[in-house]
Amino acid sequence: MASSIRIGLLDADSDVRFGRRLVLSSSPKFEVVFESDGSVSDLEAIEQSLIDVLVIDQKLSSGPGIDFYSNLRSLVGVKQAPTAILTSSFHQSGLLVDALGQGFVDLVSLEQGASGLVDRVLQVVSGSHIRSLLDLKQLIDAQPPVIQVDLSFVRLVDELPEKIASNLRRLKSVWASVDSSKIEKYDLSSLNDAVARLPVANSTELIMTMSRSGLLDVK
Amino acid sequence: MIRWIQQRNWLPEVSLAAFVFLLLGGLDLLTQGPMAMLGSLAIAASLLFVRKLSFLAPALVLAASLVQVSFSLLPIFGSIGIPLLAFVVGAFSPKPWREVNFAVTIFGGLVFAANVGFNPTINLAIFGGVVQLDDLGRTVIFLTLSLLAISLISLMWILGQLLITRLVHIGTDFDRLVYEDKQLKLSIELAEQSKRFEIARDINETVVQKLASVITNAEGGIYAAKANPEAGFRALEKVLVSAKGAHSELRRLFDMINRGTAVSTTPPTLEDLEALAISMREKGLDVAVSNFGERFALDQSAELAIYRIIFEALQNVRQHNPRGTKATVEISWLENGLQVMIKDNGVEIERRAQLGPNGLPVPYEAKDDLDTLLEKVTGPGLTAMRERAESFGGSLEVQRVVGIGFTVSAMFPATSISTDLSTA
Repeated sequence: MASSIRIGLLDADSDVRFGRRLVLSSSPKFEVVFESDGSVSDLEAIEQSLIDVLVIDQKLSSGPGIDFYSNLRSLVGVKQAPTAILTSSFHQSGLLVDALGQGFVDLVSLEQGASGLVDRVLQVVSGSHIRSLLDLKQLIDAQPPVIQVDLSFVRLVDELPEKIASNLRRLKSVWASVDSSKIEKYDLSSLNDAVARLPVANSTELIMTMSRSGLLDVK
Repeated sequence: MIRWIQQRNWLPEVSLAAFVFLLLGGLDLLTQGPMAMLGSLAIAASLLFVRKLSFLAPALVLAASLVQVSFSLLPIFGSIGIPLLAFVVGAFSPKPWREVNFAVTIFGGLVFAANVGFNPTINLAIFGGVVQLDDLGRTVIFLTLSLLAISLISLMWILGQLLITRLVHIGTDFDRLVYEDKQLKLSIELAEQSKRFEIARDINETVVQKLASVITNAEGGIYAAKANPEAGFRALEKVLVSAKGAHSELRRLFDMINRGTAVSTTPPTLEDLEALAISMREKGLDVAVSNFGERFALDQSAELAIYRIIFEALQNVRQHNPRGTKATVEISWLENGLQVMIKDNGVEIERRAQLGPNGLPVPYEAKDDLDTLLEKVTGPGLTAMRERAESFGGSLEVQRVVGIGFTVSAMFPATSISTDLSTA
């Protein structure tokens, strides 16, 4: 029998946590092993709870959920931090972009309902949650352009071996393409080697970080 | 003063022209006779047309000049009116007549200078001098006086413009005080609104949070109830608590947004009309409410709409009529519907307060009857009342009753407002 998915629930509101726990606990596939309002002291406890998926609400007692996850990644390491889904009351494209850029795999709003959350957790565990490159491009293009160059990230990209660097160059040329079918067909798994070498959790975060640092701009 | 002038059409001009004519024309009549007075009359009359029919003003100045030259008059006292005309033109004439009139007043000044300089009847002997003026002397006098006339008229014209600019665009000290007071009140109001907005934002956040709790618990309950009914029950309890919390937050928001206006926990009904009448009486409007016919049960929202119509109508009566006005609210419960009539006697009270030449109140005339027939009573408040009535299939009419006041009449079909018939 496959072991259940260990879930951590973080939300400033205990009633909301109660409801989410009821939803997730109703399925034998899930086990809620950690639950908290997201205070700073939770960071170490999360590290020790062997959590598979963290469901973090944007509203935590210590501040925004995105910042909490960022602190957690700083503490335990980008690769070691559990996969996280951000939740919020309403869907906001800007928040989704920020979340993806900070390593969250997705944003689930209250409007998507409990089934939306359950489905997303299952997709994350099965690895079928990855967005297409076209989705990401449309998402980024719809936002006001933000340039936040991470110099250490840029240096690491410059130092990548030629084979991986050529993959990134191909990504850049596809990104600049006006042919949307070409962008849609792009296989994000070709970035796995780059993801493994760079301080990002997944290919989505890699693209978001490259976009923020101006590495996807056409020159 | 400036507003008094701006708000009246002819009175300021007529007053000024009359003053100039009586004073200067009188002097001319006494010193040189009727022809000189005619010249003064033309200059005084030009003051009448500074703001309106401005093209007549220069024509009259030219006519005055013609009179002086044609009849070889000595300089007339009316010429003193020319600098005054330049001042008024600078202040009140519209473009381009401001410039045209300025040029013509300069011409009038030059005519005056020429009249002094070259008039053969003028020489130093008439002032007791012994030296006869030759052509050069007369030219020098003409040039000197021309220069003085041009300077004086230009100065007055500029002063006129300066005055109007200052009064209209800068305002008086009193205007500034009023403006500052208004600005202060607006600042306070804005600060209050801003504070309210902040509180509203906080409350909104809390409500969103409470509703998030309601939704997640309801969903959790649905999921859990299948496996464990006890858990579903607990979720329901939490839903209830959160929903109540959201409701009380919304109530706070409602109270805060409606601060300053009366807030009641339940919408008012027609039973509350007596209380409304008492409250109106306290505010100075004598209101009497009467019902005719057999009452039937009303739909709650229809009853609120009818109450609102009566309330608005009474508010209108109170705002637009003098103290002592009486209003009656008559509600007729008919077999097929409901009729509401709100009558007032505001016009009658106002007429009684105005006494005619015979010491009796002013009677109404045939013109009032005609006005009543032709006049369509309109206004945003009436439109809102009419829309309320129409939203329940009803209609609303407002009519002036000659010499008495106004009557608002609303009619509702029973099928749209009665719970008995609408549920049948």
